[in-house]
Amino acid sequence: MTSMKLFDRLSEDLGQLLEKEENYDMVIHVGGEENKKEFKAHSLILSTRSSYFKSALNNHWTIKQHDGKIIFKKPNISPKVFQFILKYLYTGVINFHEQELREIFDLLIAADELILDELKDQIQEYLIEHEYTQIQQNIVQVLHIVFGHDVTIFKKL
Amino acid sequence: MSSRKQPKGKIRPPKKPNSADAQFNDNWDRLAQAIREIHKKNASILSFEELYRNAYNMVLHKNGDKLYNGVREVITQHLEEVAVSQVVPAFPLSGASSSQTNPNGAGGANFLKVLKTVWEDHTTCMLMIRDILMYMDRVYAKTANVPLVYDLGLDLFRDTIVRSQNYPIQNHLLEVLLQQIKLERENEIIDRTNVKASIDMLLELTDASTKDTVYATDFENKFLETSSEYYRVEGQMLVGEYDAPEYMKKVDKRLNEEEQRVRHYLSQTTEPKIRNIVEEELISKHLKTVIEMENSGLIPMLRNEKMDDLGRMYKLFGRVVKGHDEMKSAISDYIRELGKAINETVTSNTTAEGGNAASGDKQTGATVAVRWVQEVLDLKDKFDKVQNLALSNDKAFQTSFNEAFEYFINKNSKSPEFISLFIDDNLKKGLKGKTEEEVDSVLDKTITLFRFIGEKDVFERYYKQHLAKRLLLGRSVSDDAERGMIGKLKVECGYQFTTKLEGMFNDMRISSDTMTDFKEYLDKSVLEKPKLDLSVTVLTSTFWPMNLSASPRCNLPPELTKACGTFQNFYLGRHSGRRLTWQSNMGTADIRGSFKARKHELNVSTYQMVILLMFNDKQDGESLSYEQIKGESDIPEADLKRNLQSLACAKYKILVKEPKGKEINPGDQFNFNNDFTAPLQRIKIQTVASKVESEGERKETREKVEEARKHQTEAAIVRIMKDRKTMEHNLLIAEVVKQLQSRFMPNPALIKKRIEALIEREYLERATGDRRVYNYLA
Repeated sequence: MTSMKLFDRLSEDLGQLLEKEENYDMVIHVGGEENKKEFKAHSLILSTRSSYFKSALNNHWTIKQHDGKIIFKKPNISPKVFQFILKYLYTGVINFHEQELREIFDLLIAADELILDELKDQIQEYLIEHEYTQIQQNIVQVLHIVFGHDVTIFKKL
Repeated sequence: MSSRKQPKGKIRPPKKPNSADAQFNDNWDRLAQAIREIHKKNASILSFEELYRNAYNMVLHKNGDKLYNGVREVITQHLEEVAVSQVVPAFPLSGASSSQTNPNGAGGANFLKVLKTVWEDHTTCMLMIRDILMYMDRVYAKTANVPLVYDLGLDLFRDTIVRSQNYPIQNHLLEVLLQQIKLERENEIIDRTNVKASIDMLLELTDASTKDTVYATDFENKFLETSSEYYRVEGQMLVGEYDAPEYMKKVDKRLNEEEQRVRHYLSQTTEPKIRNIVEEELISKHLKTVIEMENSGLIPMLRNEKMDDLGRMYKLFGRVVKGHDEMKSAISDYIRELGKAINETVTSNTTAEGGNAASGDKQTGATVAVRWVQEVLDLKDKFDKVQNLALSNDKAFQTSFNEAFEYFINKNSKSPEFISLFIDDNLKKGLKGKTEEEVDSVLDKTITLFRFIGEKDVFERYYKQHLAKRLLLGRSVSDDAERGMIGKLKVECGYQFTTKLEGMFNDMRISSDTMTDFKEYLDKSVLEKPKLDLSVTVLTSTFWPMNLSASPRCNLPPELTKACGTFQNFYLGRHSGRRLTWQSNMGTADIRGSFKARKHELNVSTYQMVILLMFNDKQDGESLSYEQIKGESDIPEADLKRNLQSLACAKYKILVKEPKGKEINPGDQFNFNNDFTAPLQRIKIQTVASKVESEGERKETREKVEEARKHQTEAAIVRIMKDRKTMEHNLLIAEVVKQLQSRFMPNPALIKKRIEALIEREYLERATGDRRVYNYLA
């Protein structure tokens, strides 16, 4: 029997895990003062999916609250963007519809900070394909946003 | 401070350089402080997220290089401190003398322990630093082409601690490691964990210029040098103090220990190197000394069959280039020497008994042959056992042993005869009560000796003689045994070698059928029945070794002559064109003798019968002289003497000789011994005969062999030339040698002579253009 890759169901089930928060072992405080939110997540999944979290969640760095859950704070990312990232980490699904260009750039920058290379590449592809005109019109602003980041979008443009 | 904190849609201009600098300094201060806290094992107060974001921002603002260099500086500073505060104080008192002041190397062990802690702390810290500087590794280090921060940490550790310019840490480390190993070699118990930790550390560090591990560049060579020296000294000490078996046990133990050592705490890459050193210093350098150790070396081991020691030597010496060669040649020499001794006892025996052997002391001759073969077989057994139990049946050794056996067996020119006699001894009836299996196994072994004989044709000649005697005198133990032996020879040499032997068997079978027919013929015949029972064996002259072409002289009694005539008529009537000659020298007769006490049935040879019958006409006490007997019987002189001897001088004295004595001389007088008594009714008179050939006979055999070789050589030449038509001299010689060597080793001069003879007889000619090429003339 040849191998089969039944990813859809896997992705769905993991999405459920994120949504239902079953057996979560960490709480992530996301966002600044005006706009913040708590996410409940599973450290095993995050460290498996990202080297950033692998480091952040190893024995040297974790801080636990009294109920044993790990606390992690990420103030410089908006809840909306983080939600997007969590969904990507759990399910491998990226969904750009109803996103403003500004938000997509925020997502790109967050992906760069957290060293999520696959996500970063996909965002850039998307921008070039669908938001080309907008970027060209706002080239200076785009330049300012991504200044210093490890993004290759300009080479591709 | 991130641009994302700004309201949507608005984008700030880039920060001014000044404020960026201030920002960097602020960020860097916090990060440097954090690294220091990590070094102090205070990480629990730190936030991964903040520190990471901090470093991330610095890289984002193109301050990667400042960050990288700053980190390098902080780590270096820390390591310098560690060197001063932890490593240097742990230095053992004094490297060189520490083994005396500190017999267990405790100072050294402690130093290694401290280094182990320092190294573990360092790697733990570096893992944490790597965590928070991950963005720098990913973005800055990659583009700036500098080592990742963890590797930077390793390099700094190497340069600041292990190879510190300020403190002799390296010297102490290497010295302590070597000292610990030396202690362990001297059976002290050391703490391998600490040694292993340091070794692993050196294995993880890389030398910048060679890209090899620091273990390889700094430690390994020193280790090998010290080991070399250590085992050089030990080797000299051991050969002086121990005998060979003990020495080898020590070496074995050392090899084991070093292998264990490498496995436990050194790098696997060192294994072949240290092994080579021990092999070189303890085996190669002392090969000959150990082999030749007077009372315990290789030869004494062989002499006393010390299989374990021999096996150990084989395994150990096999590790080095010349080892097995030296062993092989020493053992082969020993075999040659033992073989020479066997040959010598035999030759000294035969010369001492030379007179007897010729005159007919038949037991000694055969005994010498049997003893020689038995001794060679025993020797072969011994070395087969050595080969089997100690040398893993090594083919190379086998070959060399075989060469040694071949050498001394062929040194004894009588070996073909001896081996045939030995087989004769085993195939003869009623000997030694051996079972068929036992005889078969002895014969199998004998075949191995037969393989070593160069002159197989000489063997064949003797074998035929001995077989003929067994068949004609009915002495063979069984046809199966005889056929079994011939089968073995056939396997060795092919059917050509055995056709004549098989022909002899056929003659025996056909003769027995012929005799049945002859009896029937006589019953039906109207002729007068012979007054005696005649049994005839008809031999095909080409199969049998004796010269059967003429009848020897002998005046047979008239009754016998008549019976022979009847048979001759019967036989020639059935087979026209054949010629029969009567071999009176080979027959036997059963006659009845009336003595004073009782009658006896005597089994005698035909000649003896002829002699005894002469006394029938004589009165009691009337004697016959040697000359009278000789004249009347016409028996050839040598045969006559032997037969008279058998009748008058052996166990059963049917005749009385005057004067008494062992030898028969002209002028002797013979009387029928009427007073003869013997417990048995039936008596067999053995004919006195030398089984080992006398010198004259041997010379004769030799000549016959030479003659046969001439024919075989010519036949081979003609066969080859007929096939090739034209051939160059050397190639022809080579081909002839190849074809004949299974029977004997023809020498080129002989072949050359045969070629010339063939040219004379116009089978070949020399080519007109080239004198060295021959053409075949059809």
